Amino acid sequence: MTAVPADARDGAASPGDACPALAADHLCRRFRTVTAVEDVSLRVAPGARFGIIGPNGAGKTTLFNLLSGELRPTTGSVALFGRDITRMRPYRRAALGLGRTFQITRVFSDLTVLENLTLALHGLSPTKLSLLRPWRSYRSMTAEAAEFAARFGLAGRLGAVAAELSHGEVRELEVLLALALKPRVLLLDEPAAGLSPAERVDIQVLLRSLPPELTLVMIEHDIDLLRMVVDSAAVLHLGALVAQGPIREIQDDEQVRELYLGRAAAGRRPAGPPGAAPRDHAPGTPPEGGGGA
Amino acid sequence: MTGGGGEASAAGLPAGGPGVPASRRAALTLLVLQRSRPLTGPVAGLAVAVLLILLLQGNGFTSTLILDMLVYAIAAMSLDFLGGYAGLISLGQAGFLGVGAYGVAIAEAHFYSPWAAVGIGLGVVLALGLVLGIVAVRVKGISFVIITLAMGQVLWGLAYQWVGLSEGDNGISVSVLPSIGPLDLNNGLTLRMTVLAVFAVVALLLVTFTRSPFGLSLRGLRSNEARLAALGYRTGLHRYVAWVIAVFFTGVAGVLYVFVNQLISPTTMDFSANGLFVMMVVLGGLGSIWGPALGAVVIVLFQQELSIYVSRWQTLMGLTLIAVVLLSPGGFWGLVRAIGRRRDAVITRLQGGPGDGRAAAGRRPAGSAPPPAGESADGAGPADGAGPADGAGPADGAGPAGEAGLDGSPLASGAGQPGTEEGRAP
Repeated sequence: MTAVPADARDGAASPGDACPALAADHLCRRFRTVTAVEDVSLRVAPGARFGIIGPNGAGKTTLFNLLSGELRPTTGSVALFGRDITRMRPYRRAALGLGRTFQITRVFSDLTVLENLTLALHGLSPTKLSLLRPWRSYRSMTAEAAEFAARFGLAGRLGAVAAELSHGEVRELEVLLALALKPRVLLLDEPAAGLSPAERVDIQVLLRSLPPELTLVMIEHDIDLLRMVVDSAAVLHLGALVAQGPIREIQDDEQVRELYLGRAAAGRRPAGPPGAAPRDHAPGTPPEGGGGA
Repeated sequence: MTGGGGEASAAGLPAGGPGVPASRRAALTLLVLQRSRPLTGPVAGLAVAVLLILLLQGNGFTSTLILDMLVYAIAAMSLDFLGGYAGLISLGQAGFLGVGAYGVAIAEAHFYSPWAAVGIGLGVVLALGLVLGIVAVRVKGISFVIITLAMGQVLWGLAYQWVGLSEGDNGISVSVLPSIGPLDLNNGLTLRMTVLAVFAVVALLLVTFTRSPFGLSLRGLRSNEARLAALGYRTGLHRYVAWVIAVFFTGVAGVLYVFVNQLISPTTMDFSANGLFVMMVVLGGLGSIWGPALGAVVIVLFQQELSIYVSRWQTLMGLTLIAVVLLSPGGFWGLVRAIGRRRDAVITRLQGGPGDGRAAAGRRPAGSAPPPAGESADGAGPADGAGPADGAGPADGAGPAGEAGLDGSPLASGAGQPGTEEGRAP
């Protein structure tokens, strides 16, 4: 938390920021009859560390896919450093500095670690279409790939095929692939999913060592990990934003606790909030969340 | 070298110690194996080239057979470039071979000079590849198979029914071949050598492509397209380029085909011909470029040699395909690679073997794990090699560790590719 830049604290909440690193404006995405993301507006300031939490099925990954371009929004828009990228395809967004990782790990499993990283390093260079020169002869690229691997304990694994890596190593490689593009905004989809406690510490160290100017948006279930990395967060429930603000406030937020600490807690108070119809309830909530922020 | 061997036997146990023959002979074996590793590919290639040149001197059945193999091999390798690397299996390969062949034949029939006909044939196939590619690369997997199958069938249908242009069932014969100065393809020997040369050029180009960053991107494309897109790759463009390359080289095979056979008819591009190319690639080994060339050799042998003696040669061919798919998923080339892997295993054993303790500990990082050592020779390699050399026993460390370093560098460049692919094979 010491790594949090000063301007980041107000970054997520204040809509007055001149040019947010990443902004979503009234994003909606419907799949036939289901609304996966409903009227989500976000502003993430440059250099901020921003978390997105919410129960399973809340639409977090769909929101990420809208931000990174895997999906097009039904309505609404996305802007990267003030530039509208709503209609851009993923590779164009990557070229503009938007990197991402995937919840279900997507490394190149039949390629070696070195090949994975080299591929990532060529991503934004015109050399990716080069046909006549062996990729191994791009010494600066392969050296940089080795350097990247060395940063996260994969140095001895350069020649290993990704499919043979341990789960923790694969998750690290996943993050490394995204970092190799030197993104300005990095979207991390549950980087610690399925990791052992020791590996969680590794990934936490990795995330906290990222350059301060990098804007980080991450989905994470593990509140403890999240608290160590992000300074502010938004809570997504049934596709809608129900709270947004500094992570400490989010953590103490009554509603968030209810969402997270299970239906049991909510169920014990039948006469409490109108939990019986959460879908109707959700859109009405943001003012409340905004007030809290 | 002898210093290293002597040291090993002095420091280690007497020869024939527990599981480790720490002898001069073992050191020699290791040296031979290590030195031969980067040379195997070029030497084998050269030997095959010399053999082919000798076999192609005559004008008999053998030459005809080899020419067929070479022509089909070009098309099969092109298909492998698309299928084995980009993961796009085309079932319309024979169609594009036919377009190249018909392009030449029709142009010659319209009184164009043979050279112009070659230009027209290649131009038509390139244009067709560029246009059809726009449609074809929009789909993947089974849809791609079906769409290319449909394209192949349409091309076959045109050849069969557009009698005004293609002379239908009879096909078109080509009697005059191009010639320039001493290079007169009407001369049988010149033609045979030209086919061999074109084959070599196409094969080397395709191998070069597969080792380039573009080739790497194709393997990434097959492995995980969404990830590749998130890394800034315009995946559709990469598929398109791979498609155009494959179609063009198949057209080149078509041009050679019509010169070799002096006839092109719709049978060359019918449905079973398309399947035959896929069989060549699968038999030979998907994703290896040289493998499908081997597959072409085998299929042509079945088709033209075995069929003389065995009337049910197709049954035998089918059984062979089943056996190969079950026993060696990497095809024939997978078997070739298995030999290379065995050699690597021996090298590793011999390197890790002699001189336990301090010396082995020093050598291990540089030597006993060939792939990482080879890879890191690009960047961290030199430092790695230096470390163990001066770290462990003075005389002992310098010899073998230096050796491993030497071996590592050629690994990292050109000749190393087969080696690392061996590591990757299942």
